[in-house]
Amino acid sequence: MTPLLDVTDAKVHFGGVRAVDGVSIQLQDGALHGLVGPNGSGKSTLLAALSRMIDLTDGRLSFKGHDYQRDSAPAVARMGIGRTFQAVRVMSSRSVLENVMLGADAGVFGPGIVGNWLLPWRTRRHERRCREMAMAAIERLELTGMENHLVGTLSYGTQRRVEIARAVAAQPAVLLFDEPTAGMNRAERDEVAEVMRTLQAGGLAQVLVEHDMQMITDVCDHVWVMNFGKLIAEGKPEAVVTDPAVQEAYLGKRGEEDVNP
Amino acid sequence: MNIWYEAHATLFQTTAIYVLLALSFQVVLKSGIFSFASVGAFGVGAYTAANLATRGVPIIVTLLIVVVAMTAGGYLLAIPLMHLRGLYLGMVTFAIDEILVVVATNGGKITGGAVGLFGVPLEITTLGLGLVAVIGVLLVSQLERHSVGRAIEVLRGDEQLARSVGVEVGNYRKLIFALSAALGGVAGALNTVNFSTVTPGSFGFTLIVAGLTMAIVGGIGSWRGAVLGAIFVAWFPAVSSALGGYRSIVYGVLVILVVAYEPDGLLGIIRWVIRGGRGQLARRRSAVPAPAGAAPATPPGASPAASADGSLASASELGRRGHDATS
Repeated sequence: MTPLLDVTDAKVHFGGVRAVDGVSIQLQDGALHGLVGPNGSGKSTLLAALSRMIDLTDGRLSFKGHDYQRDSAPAVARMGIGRTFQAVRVMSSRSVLENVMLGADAGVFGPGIVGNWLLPWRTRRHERRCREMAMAAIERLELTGMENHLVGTLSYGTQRRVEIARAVAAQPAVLLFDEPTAGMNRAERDEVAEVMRTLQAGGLAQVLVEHDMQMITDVCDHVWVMNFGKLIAEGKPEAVVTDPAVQEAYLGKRGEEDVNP
Repeated sequence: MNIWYEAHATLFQTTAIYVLLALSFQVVLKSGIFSFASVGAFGVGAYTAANLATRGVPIIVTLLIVVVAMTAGGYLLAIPLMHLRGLYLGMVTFAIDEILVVVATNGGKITGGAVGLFGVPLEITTLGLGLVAVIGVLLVSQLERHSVGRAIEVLRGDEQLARSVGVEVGNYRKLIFALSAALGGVAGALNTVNFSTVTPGSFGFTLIVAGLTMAIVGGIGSWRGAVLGAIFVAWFPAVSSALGGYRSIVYGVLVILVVAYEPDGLLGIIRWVIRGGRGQLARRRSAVPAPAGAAPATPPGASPAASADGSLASASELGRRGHDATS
């Protein structure tokens, strides 16, 4: 069976820095995979490469059997690869509904501008469809009743949910999360974990970049571990945390404390 | 009314032309494109109209030619320019405007040199000017609605986010640049056929300042701001004639005050007044009956503790805004 997402020997080099250096991973339909590693190990860069925010130096990206390493980021987003960012990114002076509709827009309106701008009858029909998709996403993220709140006035955890709703509204086939729980308290974190499990139950494939191993073991069924731009381990979360190579990456080499005072 | 209108016809005509010019600035500034190129288009449109009108081409044909030429020219110019951001794009478009002024000054018969062209047949009525301005307003106002409106809002604030939700940022920027050029070109053409004259001095730096003033004083957030700004700049000298020699000083001080204290311009002030009035009403209403059951607006699903904690987190998060996701 063709994997949903198939990455072959992906490399991203910035001058001499090999941020991602020959990573090959596969993601099946409906799977929820974690991507972990110490700071600077290349997780976020890999995620940016997958969403085509940055170019691969070398390698191949394939989505549903289609090579997309040359497609533009907006085209990839419309194709069904959604993402969120490390920091909350919303239109804070717009309502929850408008923010979520922004996610649905590109799928419904398409890449064209002139038609959406100058054909009001078409626009009106599309707008209705977008609103429906946005309302469905709002319901899934339990934001119902807050549609008209300005996003800037909401709590951090809620803004995170708005972002996820925006990504979900586009009805992607895969969603890439870049540290969605950074800066969150435990209650908010559990909420996000719950959301991810619900989305998986609905058949959405997800990749979760995360520092917090607890979160990873809570939600992921498979984990990739990166260090220095390379994949150093993968497998079930429980197995990966006991892997010596992973422990070394996180805790340092045994005996290192003797060398460095 | 009629006599008053006749006496102020020139001001109405100027307002219509200014509205188009102000819109040409507002559309780019709202989209985060710092460009003065529409002033260059104003000049090209003005000279094109002068030449066509003296050869007997009807104004409607002239306007169509200007629209098509400026849209195409703007789009082509945008292709190499759109990777420039902020002040750099501003500098380049400013230089283009200045080059066009020099070309006009040395253009021989076509531009009439430093003296410009005079006695261009008057081809348009005040009503016609108003009609064109209304068409411009309609076109621009549609850009603020629905998906196009959301896309423009997000591509100004956060280009990377725009790309991640499937907005073709580059195409939007090019199209808006082209629209701005078309609006500027039409404003220039109308200016010529209404005032029957065009000189190299009628565009260039002075017009950049005027256009920027209109868009910014009015408020770049919406077409309504551009219209307000155009009305302000067109009518202020006439309505403040009683101030005599102090007129320019008052004008300058007003502009400074608006820009310094109300980033949303005159439009922001008007909205503030309307909201203030509504707020007053709401307060008076809620003060009379005891607000039974009117619990503070806690979002459902968020416990008070979580929201208090979250607001702190979001405050510290503000500092992280713009932190590159590719780190």
